[in-house]
Amino acid sequence: MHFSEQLQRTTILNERVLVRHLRLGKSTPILSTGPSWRAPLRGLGKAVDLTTLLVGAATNDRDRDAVVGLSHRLSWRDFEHATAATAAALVATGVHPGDRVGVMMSKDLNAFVAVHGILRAGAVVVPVDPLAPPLVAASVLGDAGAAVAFLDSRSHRRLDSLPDETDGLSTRIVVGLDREVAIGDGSVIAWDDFATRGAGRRLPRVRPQDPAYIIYTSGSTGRPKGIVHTHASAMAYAERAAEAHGLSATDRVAGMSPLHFDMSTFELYAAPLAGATVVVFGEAQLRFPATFTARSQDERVSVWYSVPSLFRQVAERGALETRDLSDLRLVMYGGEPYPAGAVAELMDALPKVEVKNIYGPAEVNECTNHRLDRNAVGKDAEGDVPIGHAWRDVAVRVVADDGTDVRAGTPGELWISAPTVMQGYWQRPDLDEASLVPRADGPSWYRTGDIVTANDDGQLWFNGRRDHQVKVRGIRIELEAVETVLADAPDVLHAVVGGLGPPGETSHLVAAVVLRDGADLDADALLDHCVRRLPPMAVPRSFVRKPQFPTTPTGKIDRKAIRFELNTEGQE
Amino acid sequence: MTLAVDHTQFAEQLLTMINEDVSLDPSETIERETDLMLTGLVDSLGVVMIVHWLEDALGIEIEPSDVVLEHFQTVELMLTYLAGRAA
Repeated sequence: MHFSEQLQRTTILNERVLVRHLRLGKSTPILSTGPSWRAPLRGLGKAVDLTTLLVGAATNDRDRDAVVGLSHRLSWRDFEHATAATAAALVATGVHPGDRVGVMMSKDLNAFVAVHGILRAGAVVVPVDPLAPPLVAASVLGDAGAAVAFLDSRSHRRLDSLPDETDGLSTRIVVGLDREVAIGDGSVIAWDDFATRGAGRRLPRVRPQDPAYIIYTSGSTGRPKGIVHTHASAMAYAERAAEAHGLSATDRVAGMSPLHFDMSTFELYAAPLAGATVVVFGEAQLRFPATFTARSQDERVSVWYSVPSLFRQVAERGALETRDLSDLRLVMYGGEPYPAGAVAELMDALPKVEVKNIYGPAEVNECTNHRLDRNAVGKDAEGDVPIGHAWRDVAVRVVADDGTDVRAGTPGELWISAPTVMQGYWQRPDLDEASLVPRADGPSWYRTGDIVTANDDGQLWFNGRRDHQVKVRGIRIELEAVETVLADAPDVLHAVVGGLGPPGETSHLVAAVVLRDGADLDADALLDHCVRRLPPMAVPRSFVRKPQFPTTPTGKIDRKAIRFELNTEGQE
Repeated sequence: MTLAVDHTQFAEQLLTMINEDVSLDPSETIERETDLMLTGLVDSLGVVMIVHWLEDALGIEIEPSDVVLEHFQTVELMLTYLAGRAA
């Protein structure tokens, strides 16, 4: 289907849902609302959409570092020129506004130039995991209908290993390699030749409602699920993130997130809006905590933003006591819970650094954050770290299964309405209908599928995923809540808890743990730790020790795989 | 330290362990000069496994500050690092 037809269809569908919703005539009480839009954001560039993001810094700070790559660095002026040339070359290659363009590259300068070049050509960025199995990568590029993709030689080799008739892979033009090779009967344009071929081309204007990027997550059915963000929703995020986290031109932000992971929107969009430098960390550097801290020191990095599992390795093996990280001012984590005791350990190792818990599914980027109190965190055994308060312009509901708002103190599903909410899922009106609820007086509600509890002040605590709830003999239990308790036990580094038995018939819980170096598994002590802190049905019956947990391509612990394994092993 | 007893034999054992237990792509044979990191053959779990194996095999303790890319990018670099420790 042609893109504009699709857009139209989605709009019509949304209107239909809206009409149906309005007929219900139900008011939607708002539990709490973040602070509303104050004065224009101060100290930030004047960008109105992602295509003008780089122009501000390129005018003011032309010779300063924009992106520090693994072997080279780009000034703002050079970054701006390179992306403009790339955009013009895409136009000359026949890429039209709204066309999807894949980026499957190891993270370095070229990938940053590709992303911003695609945006400036009015096209839609589709980041693909460069380490994804070939069939998975092909299904993402195919689902997005990306006729053009930026590949490096490694990802090209992966895709080229697929048979020519691979379903869905429609990519025919490949950019970014240093030699002439092709996928199937397609053509390849070398990176150096590419930038020159657009000379004199005009770049299209984009509108705020135009799609900017699609982030794919693996759907529960295995079919990839594309989250479509517009220039407006992405800019809304960039502005709020830059403001909320005090980003400025003096910041040097660690580029730690894979581009296909939603956290990368911080370094891709929020950093340039504030004129902050991004220091790129390669996949390899992130596998070595001590290399990560050494580069942070040498490049005078001021902001880290990643997942707790990475920071736990940094605290454990990052040789922090030997590093001078005096430029580091802010550490932000998100994507999964960070047990209070463990985060306190990181804060002890970084005594002058502010630490924030960031919450927000890829569908909304960020929407709440919490600044950790150094004097309180980890000191109180009861206290999980909250996900905090909504930031500006976010309306929040906490909703029971029957669709009514719950009272403070009662768990419910978190619904969010904000200017940062996605446009919808790529060509999946079924998913849109299930997760987006139109709101008469603001952006659609997004049903996060996350279970949260609010207190009277609108402070939110994350309890777990709706679909990670198990019922043990009738009692509803959040697996993540048990994991958080367990991961706070002495000697435990990571914990994953799963149910034993077929879905819906969990007989009891079992746990897998990764222990600190040199520690021995003491099941009685773990049991005792859990018994003191959890209701009886939530206490795991057995504990297995694992040397390490497998991680997902985005660096999070692969809980799904471990839970499956626990269930399978438990039945043998 | 016991490393230098039989350099070649030790390197072979290390390569076998990495190929059999650590590598994420069994179709690719890892050799002494193979870049384990850029090729995505070894993840962070693999790095931990290699460090533990070396510590056990040699009866040494490897400081976290030594577990850096420059020492572990290839098997050859690991051997150079270990030989440097012994000196």
